[in-house]
Amino acid sequence: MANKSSLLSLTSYRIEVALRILLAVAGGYVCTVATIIFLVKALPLTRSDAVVISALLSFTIFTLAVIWVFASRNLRRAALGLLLPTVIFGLLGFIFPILGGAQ
Amino acid sequence: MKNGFRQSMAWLHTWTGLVVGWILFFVFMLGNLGRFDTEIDQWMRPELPIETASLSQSIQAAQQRLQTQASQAETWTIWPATNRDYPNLRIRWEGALNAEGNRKRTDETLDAATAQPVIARETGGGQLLYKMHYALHYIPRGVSDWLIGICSFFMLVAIVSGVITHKKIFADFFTFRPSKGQRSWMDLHVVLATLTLPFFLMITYSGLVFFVFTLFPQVLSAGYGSEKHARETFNNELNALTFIEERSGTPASLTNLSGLIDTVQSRWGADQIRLIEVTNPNDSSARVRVLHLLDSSSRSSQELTFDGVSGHLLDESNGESTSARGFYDHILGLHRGLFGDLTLRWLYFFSGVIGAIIIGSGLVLWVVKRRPKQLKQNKPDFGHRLVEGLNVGTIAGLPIAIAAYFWANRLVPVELTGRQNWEVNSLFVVWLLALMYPLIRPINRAWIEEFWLVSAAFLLLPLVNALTTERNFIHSIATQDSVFLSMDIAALITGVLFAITATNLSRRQQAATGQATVSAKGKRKDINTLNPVEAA
Repeated sequence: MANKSSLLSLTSYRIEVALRILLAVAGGYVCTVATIIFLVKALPLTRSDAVVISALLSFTIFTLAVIWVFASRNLRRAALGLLLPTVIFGLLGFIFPILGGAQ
Repeated sequence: MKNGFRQSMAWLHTWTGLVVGWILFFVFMLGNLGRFDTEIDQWMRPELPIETASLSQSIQAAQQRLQTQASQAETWTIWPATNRDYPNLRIRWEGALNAEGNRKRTDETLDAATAQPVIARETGGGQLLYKMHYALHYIPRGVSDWLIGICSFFMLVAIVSGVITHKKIFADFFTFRPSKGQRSWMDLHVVLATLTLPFFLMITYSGLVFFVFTLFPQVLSAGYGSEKHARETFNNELNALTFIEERSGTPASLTNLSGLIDTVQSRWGADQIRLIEVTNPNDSSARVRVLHLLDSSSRSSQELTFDGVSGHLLDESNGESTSARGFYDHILGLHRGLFGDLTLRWLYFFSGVIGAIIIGSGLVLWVVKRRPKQLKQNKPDFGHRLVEGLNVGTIAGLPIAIAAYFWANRLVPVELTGRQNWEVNSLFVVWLLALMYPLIRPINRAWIEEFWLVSAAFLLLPLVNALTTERNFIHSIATQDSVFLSMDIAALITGVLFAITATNLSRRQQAATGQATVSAKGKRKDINTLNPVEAA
């Protein structure tokens, strides 16, 4: 019995690790893309400068996202912490040009 | 996921570091050699004469050659032989943008006296070693850019999580406990990483920046739309190229380029030209840009723009730019380090070697830490044996493969067509063999034997050079040939260092075996399969 339950917990541990990796890589990537697109549109700089600054920030944002995912207490918290900025910056990135932002 | 923030970060550090460790070891080793790409180029083309022509003679020869070969090209570039990066006159011509958004480029090294391409063996040289550190080999750039980009990003995550893991970063710096097995490996890893952290972080982050528009193309399309020439438009805007002229179609003969030198030298002094770029040669819209040598970590420098037909000076720029572009340029410039003199290059080189040691010791540490548990099992896990084998085959095997590349340069017949492919094939074939070697040997023997092989390959390299060229050690001393002399000495030092490593490993392993025989005879077999680096 004990053996079976430890096997189960090992499996669930492995599934959790796999999910976290997936979340960190795919979720982190999408979150980074949403943020940098927003930055390109929102930064009050010339077009080429805004692109460069956002590009330079991308890896920092991605790194923070990955660390967030692995540091979070549970998966739900980790996912929520990525989803929120993604949605907010994604929407703002859409709205900004319409409102007549920097671009 | 584990209990506590620091434990999670330790986990993240271990695994992000492990999965990309071997590729990064390759990247670091070849990037390091790339610091001396020009010198290695010279060594690998021993026939090449030492350039003695004057600047104006060189530029005249280049113009003459370009005129006969590529009078209708879109751009010409001329690198006169003015500093250590350009020991010989180089030219390049580029055609118009093709359907895929690329330009066809042709490069030549010229003999300034005859305006003909120099005759030297075909070789990838140091340039290929340098290029492989960011583009690998055998696979298209589209794939390698992603692969290297992802690996570098893993490394960035490994560095940041590693720093978080080691809270006592200052105390750790003063902690080294030699000959204590796992603890010593940990100390070595941590001391070196603390010492070179600024460099390590800079080189990883700046390396990533080279791939940013590949990994995040959205950032470009957010600003420039998804039009086909978005990248080109962006580059032009970023570099504030004000003299992009469409070809007018009216032929006009190009001014004598060497005639511009006086104007340039009156502003900059002698021998300060990095390159001369001609756009739309032989057209009435022709422009000539003359760029100053790099003298800061920025990628840009002072430049002068001339009308290509009349030869009048049109614009003078001091290389300053917006702060955003300046930052970007300095990040990339710091990675390349092309502004540096020889001293700085050596500093870069040694920092990079330490980087490779950090990666290598991290990989070894992974094995050493798990070894006790594996020894209790009947048979070590497949994953464990794989990591062990890859460690031997990469940390000891890659240096053998690099030596094989140099050997092949001297031994593959000069007349053989496609010989430069055989040089690089030797590198990868030897590396593959070195990776497979631990399959047929006990892991501890494989370490020692491969280290001996590195040592032998490098110690014999000066001999191979002396037997296959006239530029042997004595000749190099007599003619004060610093490049060939340095190569010989560097090879000997490398050989000696690896010999010392191999000797130490086998002595420690013998000591460990001896102790085991005395204390518990029955256990001897187990100890034999022990990793010698653990016995250290």
